[in-house]
This record gives sequence, structure tokens and C-alpha cells, in this order.
Amino acid sequence: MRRGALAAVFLAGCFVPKMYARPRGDPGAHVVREDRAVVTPDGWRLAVVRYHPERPAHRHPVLVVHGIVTNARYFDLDAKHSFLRWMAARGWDVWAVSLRGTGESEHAREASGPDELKHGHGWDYDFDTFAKLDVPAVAKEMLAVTGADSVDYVGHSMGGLVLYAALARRTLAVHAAVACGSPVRFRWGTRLDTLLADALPVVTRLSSLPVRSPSSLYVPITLRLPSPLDPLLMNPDNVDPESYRAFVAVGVDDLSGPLVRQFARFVRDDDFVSDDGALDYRAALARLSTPLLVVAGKVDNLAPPWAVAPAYRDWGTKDKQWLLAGEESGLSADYGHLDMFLGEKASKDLWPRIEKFLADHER
Amino acid sequence: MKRGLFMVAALAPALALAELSVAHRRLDAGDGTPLAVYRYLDREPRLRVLLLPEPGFPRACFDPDGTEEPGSAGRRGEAQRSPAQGLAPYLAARGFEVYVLEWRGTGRSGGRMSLAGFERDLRAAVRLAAGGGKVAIVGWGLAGTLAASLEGSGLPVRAVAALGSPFDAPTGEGALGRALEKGGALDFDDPPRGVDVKLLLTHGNAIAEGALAACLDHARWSASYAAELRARLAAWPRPKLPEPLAFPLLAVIAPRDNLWESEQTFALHDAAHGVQLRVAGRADGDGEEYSHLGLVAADAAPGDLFGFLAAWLRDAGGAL
Repeated sequence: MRRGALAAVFLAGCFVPKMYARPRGDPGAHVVREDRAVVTPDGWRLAVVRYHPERPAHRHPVLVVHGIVTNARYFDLDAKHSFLRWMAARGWDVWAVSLRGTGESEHAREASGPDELKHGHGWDYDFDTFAKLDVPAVAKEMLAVTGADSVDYVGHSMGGLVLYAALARRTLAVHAAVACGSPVRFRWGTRLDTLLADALPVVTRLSSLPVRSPSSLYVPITLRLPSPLDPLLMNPDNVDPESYRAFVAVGVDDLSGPLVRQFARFVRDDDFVSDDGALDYRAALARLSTPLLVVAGKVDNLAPPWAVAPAYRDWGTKDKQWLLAGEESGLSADYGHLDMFLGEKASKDLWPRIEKFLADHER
Repeated sequence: MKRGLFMVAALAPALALAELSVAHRRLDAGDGTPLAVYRYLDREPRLRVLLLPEPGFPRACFDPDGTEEPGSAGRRGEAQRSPAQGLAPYLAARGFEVYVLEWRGTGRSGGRMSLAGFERDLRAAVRLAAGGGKVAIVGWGLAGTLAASLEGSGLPVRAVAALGSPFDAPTGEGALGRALEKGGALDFDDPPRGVDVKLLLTHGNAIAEGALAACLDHARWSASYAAELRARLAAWPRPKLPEPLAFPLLAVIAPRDNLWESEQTFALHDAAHGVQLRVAGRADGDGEEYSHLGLVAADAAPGDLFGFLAAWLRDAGGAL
């Protein structure tokens, strides 16, 4: 009986994710969807999904970058939960990349022998790689296609950190940017610290950290058996369980060993520096002058306001805004981490704030 | 009897609440301001603890079912009793000798509210509650900030738990900044138009109607104190704490605190090495994300937080 149930869960785990394989719903009236591929200087093929109106109303295309463990589907789950389509419907030319090793982009392969790696890519990329190679490659393509001189940028979680690192490295020309739930401190002072302290010595030994397959197996039971991680990931009052299930099915990806190790160092040392230690990204914030909106979820337990706020405080220009995403700021709910783009009412209250910030800087 | 200390002994015989007795004392703050202090005593008290409400808020926030007049039969009656037991009787029932201060300008204490005056009140209350030994302090809101600032003062403090206590300016304007914008007094029971007390204080937490009413009935910030706070929000003087700490410090952060934002209250954790942290929310295993008033009055607070606090106070207090 128990074996049968396990087999059923396994089979469901194999097939349920396929139900969500393609974003549901039309792009929207007068919005065009393009699936593009961008190749990085070191040969990785990155999948980029672009939504744009036939005639964009704004001068700068928007580069949208997801967080760790996720991919571009986070921003384009279905017609209702699609920041990309929502922005395009308002005249923006929006490009969302799945960083290497995630989503529809090229994935690393386990090296079973020396020959295999010659024809593919290994798990040798870390956080810096995204800032040095992936995001600049996509931005370059955006500028070439649109003729713009710089891009706007919206990053969620690690996507915001990639923005900070790329600007510090001067690998990216950004006109205006929004960082949502992007912590620049890595000791939260909660049980998560203990959890990470226990887990990191183990996971940092791995060449990669498999997340996608275990998540797939979890998909069939997400609605019945909440994970203990759920309260860290979202405000359950603000995310529809079915949307969360769809996200777990298609929005979750594996991590490379070097990426895990670099984040482990962030957490261990509570700093935010390049892998070689040569560039202190946190210190560099004070030298950055791109107009910036920093969004912190009021009840974000993965990137709590106190871990996000230093980016706003340290940012080196007066042209910056802080938004505490919660009811006290006039939003419909107190936002958790994933809620920002999966939340049921995000399109009604949070996204308009993001869009307004970018639109104000178009003038 | 030392000047500025205990002035008048208990006004009335202690009221027996099961094993618990409550006594009201008066204390001179040292500048002639009479302060009300309440003592909650169990049969076998072993560790002294001083509870400090958010300035401007009455003792009832720590004891919503308590008696206004010692000797009377209970202020609100059984029917309106909160399912949540207040922190004062909770700790007293667990072997603490509990003192609750009402700050100047609040409840039965005289004088006018001011930050400088509160510092006097605190020193007098600490000396009284320490009783020749040392006392642990639980300070709620700005009271925790004042109490934590006793680090290095040489006063007989055993430990301080600061519940939702700001140590820095808010990152943005914040709900409190907006509430204070218009100037004037802030009466939490009858707020000025446009000030959402529920959002500021209780947001997202279930709090029994009786407990809420008991706490807010006389909660008020005078115009001059509100002006002091408004100035402080603009330029927050971060107290310098000694290293190493003279006594253990605990910062309890409420993610849904809209009075003092969580990044303001987290700043205490940053103020010195060794400040312990507890997030009153799902991140640390609680059933809900706590608000400012929820920290002391939410229905779930006894289960989620009071037990933790009692254990922390015992540990911080050393051998009993």
C-alpha cells in the first residue's frame, strides 16, 4: 500500500510538471512573444523570452532577471501571473533571461568522462559568472536589436544582486533599475542561519545541488502537505496554492557547486564579495549612481527588510526609492519573497509601483 | 529609605488571584514625579523582572485582565477576559517577581511625557525592582531601547529583552512617520483622522477585544512627546553599546510591526556583538507574523513568545 502510494507520487511527479511546461494563455492583445537565444562569450546558450508591443512606448527595453534556484518562468507562469506580459501590455519591451543552467537555457551536464565535457558545459559557474557574462550578453543583444543606449533592469532576489555586481563590474549600462527582495546581508538572525550552517558543509562538497527533480516529486503533494520551507518562501495568504504548485513544477532549477559555495561564503562571512575576493560588491554600492527602486517584502523571510535595506541606504545617489511592500504602504497585502511576482494581487498594486518608477525615469 | 527610591509602601493589601497577588506602589522618579509601579508576586518568587510598556501605554498591556484598583474584583469581568494571559501574570505564575512601571504621563503616574523624563523613570524603577540585587528587564517598544541603553550604566541590571525596540531611523517614511506628520497628540483610543491604529499596532494578529480595549483605553502620546518622536525619526541617535556587553541583550523583532519597522528593531542586533535575536514570526517557527501590540497581547503570544521569554530570562538570570 505504502509502496503503491510512493509509486503514484513518483509517477505524478514525472508527469504533473509537464502540465505547466508552457506558459498558459495568450500573450495578450497587441503583444508579441519571441523566444530568443543569446550565446555568451564562453559559449553558453541562454534562453530569453521577449514580450513587446508592436510599437514600444518607452525608449529603454527592460531586462528582467530571476533569483537563485529559479528561472524566467517565475515572471511568466500564466496569463494572470506574468509580469512580462503585464509590462508589455503597458508599452514596455521586456526581456527575461533564464541564467545558465536554468529554465530553457543550456544546462550543465554531469561529467561522466572527459569527452562529454568537451561538447557541453560543466558545473563550473558561480554568481560572478552571471554578472560577468550572462547578463551583459543579454543586454548587448537587447541594445543591438532595439537601438537603445542602455537597458532598464528588474531583478528579483539574486537577480537584484546580479544587478549590483554587474554595475560594480561596469559590465552593464543601466538606465533605471528595480531590485525586489535582494538581500545584501546574509545573516538573517533566524532559524535559517542555523539551517544553513548545518546544511552548507554538506552541500558545498557537491559538484551540483539537485533541486529540480526533488521539487518535481513534491509537486503532486504541494497542496496537501505544505513544506516547512513554505513560510520562508512566501506569505501563504498572498499566493494561490495552485500558482505555487505550478511554480514548483516549472520554476525551480538545480544549482552548480561553485554557485552554492559562493553563496555559502556570503552567508558564512556575512559579506557580498566576488569569488576571488577582489571586488567588494557591498562596498561598491556607495559608488553606484543608477536610479534605483529597492523593494522589500514586509514579511519576506528569505530577504527580510533589514537584509535588503542596506542596499538602499548605501546606494550612491539621491535618485533612489524604498518601498516596503506591505499594507502600510498602501498595498493589498504584506508581501513575502515569492509573492512579489506570484502574488494574487501583485499586478494590481506592486507591479504598478515598479512600472511607475521606470516610467517616471523615461521622461 | 534612599532618596528617589521607593516612597510609599503598598497602598492596599495584595489582591489574591489564585496564587498571585498584585500590589500598587508609588515611586518618586527623583525629580518629584510620582510614578505608579505594580508588583505581581507568586508564592515563591525567585527572579525579579521589570516590565516596561511602550511609553504612553498603560500597565494593562501586560495585564489586560488585571485590576485597576487593587482589591477590586477585576476590571472587565470574566465575560470579557482575554484568552491570552498578559505577560505580567504569566511570568509571575512561573516564579518571577514582576514589577510593571507606568511611565510618567501615563495611567496613574504623574508628570509629563518626555524622553529625558523616561530615563529618570527607568533608573528609579530599576533601583526599586532590583531590591538590592539585580533585575532583568523586558522593555516593549521604545522602552526596550531605553533599557538596552543602560548597558554600561552600572545600574543593577541582569539582562534586557527588548520587544520591538527601535535602534535606528526607519529606512523610508514609515507608517509612524505619516501618523505623526500632522503634529499634535496621538490618542490611540481616539486617533486623529487618517491614522490607522490597527495598522500601526495590531496588524495581522488576532487580539481579544477585551485585551485590545484594556491596552488602548488610555494609550496616548502627548503633543510634545509626539514631536520628540518625530524629530527622532528624522535623525536617530544610535546609542553606543559597550563591548563586551555588561549584561545579556535580546532583540525580539516583529515582522508586521508598523510602529517601529523591523529594520529599525533589527538594528539593536547590530549595535554590539552578542545581542541575541528572536524573530516573532514564521521564520522562527511561530504561527503568525507578529505586530507591535501582538508581541504582548496577541492571543497566540503566550504559546509562541511568553514561554520563550520566560526561558530566556531564566537563562540570562543565571542560577535561580
